[in-house]
Amino acid sequence: MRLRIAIATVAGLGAAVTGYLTLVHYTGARLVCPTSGCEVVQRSRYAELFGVPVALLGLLGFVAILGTALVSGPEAAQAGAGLALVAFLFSGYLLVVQLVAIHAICTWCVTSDALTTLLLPLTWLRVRSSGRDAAPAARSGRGSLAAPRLLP
Amino acid sequence: MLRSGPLSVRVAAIAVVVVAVLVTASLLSARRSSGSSASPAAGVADARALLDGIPQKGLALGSPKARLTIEEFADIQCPYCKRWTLDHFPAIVSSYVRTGKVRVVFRPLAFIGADSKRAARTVVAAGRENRLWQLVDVLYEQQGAENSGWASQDVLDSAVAGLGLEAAPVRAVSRTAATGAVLTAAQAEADRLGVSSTPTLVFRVRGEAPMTIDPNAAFDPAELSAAIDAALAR
Repeated sequence: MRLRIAIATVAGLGAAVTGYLTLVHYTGARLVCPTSGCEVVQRSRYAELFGVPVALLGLLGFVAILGTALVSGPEAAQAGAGLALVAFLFSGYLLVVQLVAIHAICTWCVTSDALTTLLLPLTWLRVRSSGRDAAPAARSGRGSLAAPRLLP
Repeated sequence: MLRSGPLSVRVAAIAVVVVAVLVTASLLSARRSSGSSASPAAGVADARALLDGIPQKGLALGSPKARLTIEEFADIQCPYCKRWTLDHFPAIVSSYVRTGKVRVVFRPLAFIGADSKRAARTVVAAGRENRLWQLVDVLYEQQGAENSGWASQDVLDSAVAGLGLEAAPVRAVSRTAATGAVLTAAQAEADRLGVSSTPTLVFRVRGEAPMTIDPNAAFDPAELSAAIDAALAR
């Protein structure tokens, strides 16, 4: 349960960060940023995928991971871990793009990357613990079979 | 069926495929944005509607036979210049430039910072393709916070490509000494005329001394029209 709460919290923070970037993209509001890199990155040609803001994709990803944390069970754990892996790898690609192609770093993007990186071990730990949680149910099944039957 | 325990191979494989699709889409989208078939940048449609059909050459917009030339000293990063161009300039274009009465010449200043220099050089380079005024309009639409790095090469290339020009040649021209000389000349003229703020409009009627317009008048449509009519009547 604690893992699910941790995952939900981190995913919620990620949704807040990417939600803000998405809002700025669509409203044209000034982006609050400690450096000039945010504007440069957010206005680059890598900030959209065929017209869809990357920030929006990030928001959807974090919301999906948050959703898996709200659902119990090994399938939800696997889905959360899979989504976290996608987010981690794609964030890595975007970080390389910032360094190599855009030559600027967006502070908000790095914050989102850090949250994504944190989600990966959390979701994987959940998968492992959901596997351990599933094992006792099997053992209790064997136990009931091993229980002495009452003879009529 | 998903198995509990370590991340299942199937889920990991799906994740890798999804990432591959996203990365490929990102690279294709970025390449498309930098090519000549880029989707139009913000403001392109408005710029085209305003300026299409009006002769344009280098820094000048309008008929070379126009009696009055208005020189606009402006910095692409200047928010007042943006306001004037987007809010007040269209009326001048419709009433005076399109009718052949007035010709406008852009004098690029770059005093605010590095973004100003990059943007100014790029608009001058676009002037070689007779698209300076469209690019000025588009860049004002996309204007970001001063010296925030908003006028990056990527943004400028995208804006140029959105006008149907090839970004690479315009970029190359923007970096030449000849383009730098245009900025130097504009600054020298601004210094000579005592231009101390932007936007500053200078009226030049053939055969007469240049006249600098009160900046407040530039933002008052009635006053500006009256000043133009008076200059045309001289």
